[in-house]
Amino acid sequence: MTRLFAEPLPARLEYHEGELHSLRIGTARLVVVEVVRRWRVEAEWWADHVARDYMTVRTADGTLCDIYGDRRSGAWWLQRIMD
Amino acid sequence: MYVELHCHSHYSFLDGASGVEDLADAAIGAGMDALALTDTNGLYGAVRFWNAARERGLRPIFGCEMRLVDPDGESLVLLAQDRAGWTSLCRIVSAAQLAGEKSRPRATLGLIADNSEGLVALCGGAARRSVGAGDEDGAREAIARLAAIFGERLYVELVDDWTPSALAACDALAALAAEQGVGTVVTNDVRYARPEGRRLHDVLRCIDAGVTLDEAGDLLPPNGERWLKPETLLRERLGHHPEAFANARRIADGCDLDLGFASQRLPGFAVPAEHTAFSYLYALCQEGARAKYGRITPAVSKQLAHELDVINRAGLSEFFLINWDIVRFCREKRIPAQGRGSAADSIVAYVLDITKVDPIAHDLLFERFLTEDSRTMPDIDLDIATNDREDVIQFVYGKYGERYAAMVCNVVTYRARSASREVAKALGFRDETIDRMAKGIDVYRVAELAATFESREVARTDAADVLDQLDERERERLPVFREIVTAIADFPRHLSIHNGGMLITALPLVDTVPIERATMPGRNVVQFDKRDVEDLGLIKMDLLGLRTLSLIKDAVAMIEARHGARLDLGTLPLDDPAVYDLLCEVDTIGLFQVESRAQAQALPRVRPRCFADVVVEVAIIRPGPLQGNMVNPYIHRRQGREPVTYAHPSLEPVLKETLGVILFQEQILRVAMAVAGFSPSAADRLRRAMSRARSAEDMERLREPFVQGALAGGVDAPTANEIFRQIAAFAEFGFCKSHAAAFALTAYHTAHLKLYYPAEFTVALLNNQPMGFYSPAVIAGDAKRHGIRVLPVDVNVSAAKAAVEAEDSPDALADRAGLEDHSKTISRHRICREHVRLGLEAVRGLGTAEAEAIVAERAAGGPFVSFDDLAHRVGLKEEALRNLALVGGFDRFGEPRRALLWRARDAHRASPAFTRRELPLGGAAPPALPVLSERERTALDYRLTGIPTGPQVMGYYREELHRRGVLRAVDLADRAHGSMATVAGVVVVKQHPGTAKGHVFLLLEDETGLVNIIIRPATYQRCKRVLDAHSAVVISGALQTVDGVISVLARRIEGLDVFVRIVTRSWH
Repeated sequence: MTRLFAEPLPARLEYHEGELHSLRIGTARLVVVEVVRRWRVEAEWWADHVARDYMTVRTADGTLCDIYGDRRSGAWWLQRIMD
Repeated sequence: MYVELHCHSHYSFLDGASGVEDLADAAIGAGMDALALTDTNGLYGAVRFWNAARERGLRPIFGCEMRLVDPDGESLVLLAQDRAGWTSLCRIVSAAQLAGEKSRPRATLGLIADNSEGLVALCGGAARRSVGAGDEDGAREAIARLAAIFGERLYVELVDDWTPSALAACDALAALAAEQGVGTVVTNDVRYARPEGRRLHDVLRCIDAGVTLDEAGDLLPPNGERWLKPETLLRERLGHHPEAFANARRIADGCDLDLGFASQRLPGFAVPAEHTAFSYLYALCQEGARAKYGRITPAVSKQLAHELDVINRAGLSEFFLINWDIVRFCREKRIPAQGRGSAADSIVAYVLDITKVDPIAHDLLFERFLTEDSRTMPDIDLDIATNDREDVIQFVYGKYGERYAAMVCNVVTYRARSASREVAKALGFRDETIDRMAKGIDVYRVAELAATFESREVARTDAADVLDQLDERERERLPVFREIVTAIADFPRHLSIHNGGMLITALPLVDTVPIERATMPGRNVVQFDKRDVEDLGLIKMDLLGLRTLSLIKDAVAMIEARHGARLDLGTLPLDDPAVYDLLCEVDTIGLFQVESRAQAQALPRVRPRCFADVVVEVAIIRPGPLQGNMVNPYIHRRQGREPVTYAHPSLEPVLKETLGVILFQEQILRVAMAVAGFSPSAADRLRRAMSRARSAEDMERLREPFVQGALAGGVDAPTANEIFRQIAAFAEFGFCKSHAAAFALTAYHTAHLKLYYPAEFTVALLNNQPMGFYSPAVIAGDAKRHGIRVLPVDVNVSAAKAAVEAEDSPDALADRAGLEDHSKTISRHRICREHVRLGLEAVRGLGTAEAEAIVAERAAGGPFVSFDDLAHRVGLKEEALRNLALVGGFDRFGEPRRALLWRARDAHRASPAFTRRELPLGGAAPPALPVLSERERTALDYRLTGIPTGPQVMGYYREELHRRGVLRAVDLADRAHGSMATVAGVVVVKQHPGTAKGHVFLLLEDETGLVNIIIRPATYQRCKRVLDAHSAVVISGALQTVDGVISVLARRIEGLDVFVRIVTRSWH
């Protein structure tokens, strides 16, 4: 099942020796075992400029999460969870 | 080191957002030593890329991306490894372009299979799409299909566009390639040089698709990753495919192609059996020299020997023979043709009759035309009478064959108006805003204008009007609008056929250059423009149409027919004082090159008294020198208001003829030779480099050798630097003397015709419209001031075109009293006693066919006896009959014009052209109608022929204007400088030159002549609406009388409602 958040949740990325190690969503901590893919969306530069780096990560419990970092603010967000 | 092998420039029309220079810079910035240019379905940018790359020490690789129609959706990049590969590219592009419609080429895999020699292929659209759709078999098949053609020369392209599935697709493609033993290669399928180019690319895609950015959705790429990325960035994500990077290097190293065609550029030229090309050229020159000079002086003989030696050593004999042959054809067919440009510097061109100016007599410099080590082909541009140009083009096609001759293209680029319109549309601006921006604004200032919008420093200008009416979204997007409009300037938009450039090749055309369909049916065009062809070292003829030469041909034919004397303008001595009087009096309407408003201002100041003066006049009164402020120093010296000085004594012999001021390109060469000791070819290289220098640094690089040379010759450093500054300032604008001389000669010929055969001249001028600076109404007004009556169309007298009518014909017996007024401006001896009869073609609604039908019927069946007679005998449409009646074509039969209108419709129905003949002629009798007043006749003339045969329109208002104290054009000569004057007239010319810092110039015409008006920017802003709304105006201001040039500096402008519609000619 996929959960797409209408309002993405703030996420914090934690690194260990340069590798993405875990995500913090609120108080929850999800350990990342694999970065499945990365892509970039940069759109509507003429209006509400969207500039995001996306990642799909697999967490320790096998969940896939789409997270993105806003390229301008540097903040990360959880947008979607695929169980 | 990685090399990008898939890169589109803006020659992938509307799908590439960077120029080739920009891409070359970016490649170097990204650490590459080579770059491939692969535009879509064409090689348009190849030559420019070749130049840009070589200038930067980058190795160019040539290719293209072909989009196939069979199999549909396949696309592949083809790269030329060598000359054979280039030939394959040219054949594929040309065949695809010729098989399709214009802009819709049809390339097939079969075509590519037939022409794969020397090509590397990168695959490809179909495989990538199949993988994306999860269709591995489809991808496998697509790769196998191409592998069968290219074998080891096929590579599967791995492109990471940063979309979610990109890397997975690359991995899948790499696996499929490995499976079939095919290599892989990384590319970035580049569309712009740097990340910021993405915005422009999106807008271009929207323009192409005809949608706005907001509507575009998935049409636009989801991110901006398709820029020319350095290897490190690409490796971050594709580093696990090291062989694909290594292959990019390997492919690049395997492509080694230089585009120079110099060694095989000349098509053969058949010469008589006992001759070589050179010995034949030599013999022709000897013969020509005897014909031109009679006695061959040592100077002639020495120059001829020198030039022939250079031509022989440069291997250009055939080039001259080809040109000679074209000119010979023209002479046989009595088609006026003459070389322009630097070719006129050559005595060989002169004795072969290619050019008409004697380079010895006029002290011209051959080295400006050709030096032994010239890299490019010399340029011979031929001006040909416009009406006969197609015959000459057909002659060349016939002689060399369509496989070896084609027209070169002209790349149509975005101009301010088109850019502003299309960009505004893509940004979603409303139609009314787009119109307002395009119409209400000086189109050359769009970009600056947007800046004004942003800074809100808008005074009460047009810009303010547009700004006021923008909605919020448009206002927000103005910065983007500005950015894109500026960036898009000079982008190529599409190709058109060049106005005369013809390429002639030694090898078949399709093996040498890419060609495509032209808009003109049945005609093909090379994907390279004039400059490209020149840079390739190929032979190009410029066969340019020049209406003035048609005018001259027509006038000379009329003179021969009427006076029995064949006027040979070529043998005219160039020292007729009466011709120079005419020029000094600015009696120049209709003359070649010296008739414009700016020329009219300069002539009384330069006061040309010999041919060399006319050469100067032609050379300097052009935007470049005017803007470069070279004109005033010369004129001041000529008027004795400024001393003639030379920066160094060695300059005196070089610059004496132009009073110490550099006015001609040849003088740059001579200065470099005299001051810095340059050889002729080094001097010409300096001139070329200067004219192409784009930056201050470029120019600085040229300074050093010049200054060193000058110091070695004993010139001190400050002087050497000052001389360098002078030639550098001039190089940008300069005109070559030989070109000016060729044009001055034509100007002199037209002056001679106007002076001695004014009626024939006027007729030829009217019959070759549109041409020149003035409308037919102004030409007719000028003729009238010379005593030439302009007689109305008459169905029993008029020919199809205008013709001369002698004074003794009953109609032509004029009341000459009105001419007295003009005696102040036009010398008495030039008053003419012959007249112009307007041709039937001049009447709106009558084409050439109708006009000729009337003339033919008159010749066959005798003169017409009535309106009905003509209507019966010649099938004319109702409109043609009506208009013919309204301009007086039937006046000789005594019936009122208005009454005829009633019959025109019925008559048309009864004519042979109208098949239903059941309606009887006659019908209801017309009611009694008032006869047309003179005023009404004038209005009809303006409306239906554009040429008033009666009084000029201002004459009708004169009494009232006189009461208001308004002066006539002819009255101004008696007024003092600085006094206030009010004048009135119809606006016949409006000029808003970019060089004049916002000043606007008008020419007003009244019944006595033209008045020059100067409008300052502030006054123009205040009065623009009046000028836009009225074709006639009353203007008050201070009279300026300087050096015999009279103008009014406008202070107040009022509209004047006149009863006619005036055609204003606008120039920039």
